[in-house]
Amino acid sequence: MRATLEELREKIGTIRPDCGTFVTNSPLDRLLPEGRFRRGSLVQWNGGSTLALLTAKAALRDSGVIVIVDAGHRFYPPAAARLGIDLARVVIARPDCVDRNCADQDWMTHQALCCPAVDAVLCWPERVNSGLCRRWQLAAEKGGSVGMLIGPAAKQRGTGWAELQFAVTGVDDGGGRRQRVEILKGRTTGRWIEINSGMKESKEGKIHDRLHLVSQLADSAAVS
Amino acid sequence: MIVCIWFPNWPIQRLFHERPELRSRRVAIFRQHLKQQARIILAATQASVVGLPVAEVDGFHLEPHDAAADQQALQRLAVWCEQFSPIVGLEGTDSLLLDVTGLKRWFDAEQLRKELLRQRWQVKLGIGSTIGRSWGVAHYAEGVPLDADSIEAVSINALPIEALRLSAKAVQTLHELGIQTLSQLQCLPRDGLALRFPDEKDVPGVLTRLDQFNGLLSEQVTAYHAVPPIVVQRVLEYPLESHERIVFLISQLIEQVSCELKLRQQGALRLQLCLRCQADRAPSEVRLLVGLYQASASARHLTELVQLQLERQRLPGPVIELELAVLLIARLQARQQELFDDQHQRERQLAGFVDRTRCRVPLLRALLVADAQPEHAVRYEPFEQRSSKQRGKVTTSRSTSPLRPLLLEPRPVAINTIGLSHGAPVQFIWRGEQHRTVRSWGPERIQTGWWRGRYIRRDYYRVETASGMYWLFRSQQQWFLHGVFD
Repeated sequence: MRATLEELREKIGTIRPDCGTFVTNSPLDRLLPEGRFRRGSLVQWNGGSTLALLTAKAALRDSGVIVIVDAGHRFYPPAAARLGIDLARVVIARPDCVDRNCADQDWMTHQALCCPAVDAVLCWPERVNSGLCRRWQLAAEKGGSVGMLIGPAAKQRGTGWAELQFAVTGVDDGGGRRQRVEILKGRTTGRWIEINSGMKESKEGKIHDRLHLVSQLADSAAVS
Repeated sequence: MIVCIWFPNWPIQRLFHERPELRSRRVAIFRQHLKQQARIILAATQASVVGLPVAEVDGFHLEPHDAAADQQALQRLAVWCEQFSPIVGLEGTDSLLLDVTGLKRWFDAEQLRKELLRQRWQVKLGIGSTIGRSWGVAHYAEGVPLDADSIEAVSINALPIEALRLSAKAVQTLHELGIQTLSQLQCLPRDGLALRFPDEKDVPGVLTRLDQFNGLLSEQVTAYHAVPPIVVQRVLEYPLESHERIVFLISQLIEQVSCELKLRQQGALRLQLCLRCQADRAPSEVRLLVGLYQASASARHLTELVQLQLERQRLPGPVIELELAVLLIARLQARQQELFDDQHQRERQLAGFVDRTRCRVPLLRALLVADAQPEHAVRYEPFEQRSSKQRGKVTTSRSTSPLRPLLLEPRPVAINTIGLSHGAPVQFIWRGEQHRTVRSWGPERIQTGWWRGRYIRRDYYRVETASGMYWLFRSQQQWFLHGVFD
């Protein structure tokens, strides 16, 4: 079964456009199947806005920008500057969400993902349905950017088209605050890692070794 | 006959004219040279501060030097002066030249001066048979009557050599040789002058200037003609309701504008489309303003941007007239295509993205401000506005600032707390959920001065709970949640 899956993955990989990869040079890379993030894909984050922003920073290329789609007007640039992000290369879009109608936010995210000059897009959508996520994923493939969709911290597995899904939760066993990053969706599902505030690894492991056959085959390229 | 109008201290005059409230203040203009500290180049009242670094000047209202604005204001005055002469040109950065040859019966220099004074311009006028003479008289002759006949009678030999419009280097050399006036200069052998002060690229030599002054070498006033604005319009025979046809007409207008822009090798930075509609009672106008991040003359790109605006606009009735005007233009950037370097291509793509999206969603750039109050530690400006990036005490990167949450509530949210432990609450309720404090850090007091208006005094705590880390503060016995360290 595993061999069949690998074979199918390889075939799917050849259909997908190759937009390149990037590494974060942090323990996060070790959670990933190939040790690197893929451009032209979506990454869902359950919590962990800071980690998502640091990943976006790693995705920046020469003369590229990060687009922050901030419908809630909550993104605080001084905190981003403290993380070493050059605000001159950050575009903040503030669409209006009136009565839970986030059409402008969805459109803006789509436009940003489509643009080849944008290396990463951060968005905090209230909800993401499968159709919208699919459109964003195709846009990301077209533009070659990485879409970071950040939701509330929870260990719920997403149903969208995101290639990876992380759950970021706080851990405290008396030894200081750490963040536990777990892969909820992806080829290395179940792997987790604990990192401290300096992005240094303190512990890693694997929760289970189940095969999510259907979800792993439900890839963008498989249905296109 | 040439008339020269000199505007002494032109940058300051222009500033006073645009902002009359500054007339009563001590104003100085500074210029920032690359990698050098800013220095004062001009002062309204006290010339002794000229040349000093800005940091050493106190009690002055300081303004940066804006050469482009000065030039544009002078060009506007040149256009206004066309009522006195058909040929008006610009000379240097602060003078105008009027060719009034053959206009003796109609031209009145005194009236010109009065008109300029009425508009609160300080001017000095000079009249002469050549450009050099009129310029020299305007700048260096004192108390000369504005009568063409009497001016020619004035002994020009007493004028200083600076009246010849020489380069600073030539003036310095002549002074070192003991030559101060034109009469002394005229006594020198011409061959020696030609050898020692030859014409250089764009800088005429001493002999050339002397001959121009005396009329031995011809020099014409180069007339300034304002570039006509690009405006195209279409008046319809019948009112038009169909959206597709309106878009088609707009694209035709844009094609015309695009052709004109390409001829001028310029691109549009701001467009205005005016649609006159036939409403129920009276005609009404709908104006669409389209701004661009980078100048463009591409009809396809401009049509797309106008269409994006039009889609979000509801017309009050059928359209009877369309008018498209280019409000702001800039030179097009032509670049040779490179085989591997895609940086310029990405810049172009970014410009396209900004143009497309900002008509629907505002795009901002954050600038850090040195302010303790979190809400005021950042200010925003439109992303397309790149000029103020380096202005004032703002920056776009800082890594030594205090720890702040990445997600800050637009306004602090009042929360209910239970008990206190080391100053921070033991429990608090936010969004209907109860959070128990595991650990806390603080307080960090943030306090503002009375001169800021509303007095702010907050004790901030970083509070860690099982669900995450929060930024709380206490102010006047009430607790607020201000941010989340996500």
